[in-house]
Amino acid sequence: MAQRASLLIRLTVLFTFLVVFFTNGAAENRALASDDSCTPVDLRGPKLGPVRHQDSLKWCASFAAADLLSYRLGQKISAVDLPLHQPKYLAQKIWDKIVPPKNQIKMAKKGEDPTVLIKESQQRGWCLEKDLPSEDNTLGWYASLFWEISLLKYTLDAGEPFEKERACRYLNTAFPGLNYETALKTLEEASLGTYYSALANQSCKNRIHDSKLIMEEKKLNLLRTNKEEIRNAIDQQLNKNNIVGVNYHSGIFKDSEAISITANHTGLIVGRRLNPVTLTCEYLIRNSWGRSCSYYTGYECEEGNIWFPINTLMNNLGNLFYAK
Amino acid sequence: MRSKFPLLVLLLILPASLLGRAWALEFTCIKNGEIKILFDAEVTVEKASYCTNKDGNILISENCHRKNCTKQLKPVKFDLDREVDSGIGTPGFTLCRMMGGKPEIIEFKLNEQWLGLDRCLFEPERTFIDTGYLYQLNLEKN
Repeated sequence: MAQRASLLIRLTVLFTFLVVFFTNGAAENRALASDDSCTPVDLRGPKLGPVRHQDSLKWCASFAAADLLSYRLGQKISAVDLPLHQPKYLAQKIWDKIVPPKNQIKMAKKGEDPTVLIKESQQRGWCLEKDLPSEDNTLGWYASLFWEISLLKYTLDAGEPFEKERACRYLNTAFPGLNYETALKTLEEASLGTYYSALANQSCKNRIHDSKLIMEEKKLNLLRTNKEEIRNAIDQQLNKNNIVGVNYHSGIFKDSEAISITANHTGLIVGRRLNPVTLTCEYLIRNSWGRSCSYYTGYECEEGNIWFPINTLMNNLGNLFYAK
Repeated sequence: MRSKFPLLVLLLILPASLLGRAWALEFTCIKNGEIKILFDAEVTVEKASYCTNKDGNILISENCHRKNCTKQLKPVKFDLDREVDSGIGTPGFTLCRMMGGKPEIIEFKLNEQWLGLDRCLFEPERTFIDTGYLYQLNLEKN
């Protein structure tokens, strides 16, 4: 009897949660869809440049953070530089644990929180893209460049012989601003925890600083009762010609009716419009998968920027971030 | 005849709608075009023949377009959300490798303008398709 009562209580709580989640969402969707405040905004332009291409790296957060900084600072900021100083996600930590190569690649691909990336790099300053390019995937696979450099570090530390030509190619491709001798010396002298950071610092001699930059974050709660607050925050920033970063779920790329409480991808809101056909308000999301529009089923896409109905985005949004 | 007219219209529309997006694509082919790739941190320009859509965001090599090589692509099971979850970067790059190709970030020339895109290069015939279009084709085949 007690067991049945306990089960009944659990089922009731679960049912209540589901009802609140979906009906609240539905009511707000209707409100969002018929909203009048949808004045057009388009923040694309020379400050952002063409949509970037993140290659084989799970560093969408880095690319979004770099774009946000580029817009703010008026200069193109290197996306790859940002996570290279975060040993938690890089090969150095892996070497400490002596993880097999296949797992190293997986870990090297893992992303980072964009706000953390920006805040933790503020004192060091931000590297220009021309000093540390983020989109060169020569030799087939950007992630493999880091793996090869990690293997080279291991070889150097072990005092074992290595192929100079091969080492030169990989170092030169990942850090083209460094000559081979400087890159090799930096790699030899740096510790296991800091060699990527050391190589990046050698490449980025002219870092850009902005001590006044303050990051703000807002999160959609689990029951999504603060959708209106989140939407207002986005609109306020767009109205001030400020771009907004968003973490959201990639399920919306193929299904506009998708709903998710988890986010697995990062992008930037760079525009707003009233769709002239559907008469719903839409946000323009800048992705980091290049100019192709073939990934996005059923949406209008321009050079890798995608128009999403606000409902669709809000049903799959995790949090947003912007520079105040 | 009059009563059969709606049926006739339906019969004309139905096959067109069933053919999907690929049918709606119109390609412009450039015989002696140029493609820029970064190799060993230096820009290399190679001569190539390719076809593209009006927006220049779909790219296919001329030899692949001519031979209809996309029909010979063997579909691969590829769940976009699962791949994004597991951390792979641009999905088309992973799909390209799964299909035995080599992905490259490139620029190609169209109307005297350089446009950025990427390609999945298949040896030995050196046919290529941009990885986004490859993803779309794979989705349609699955």
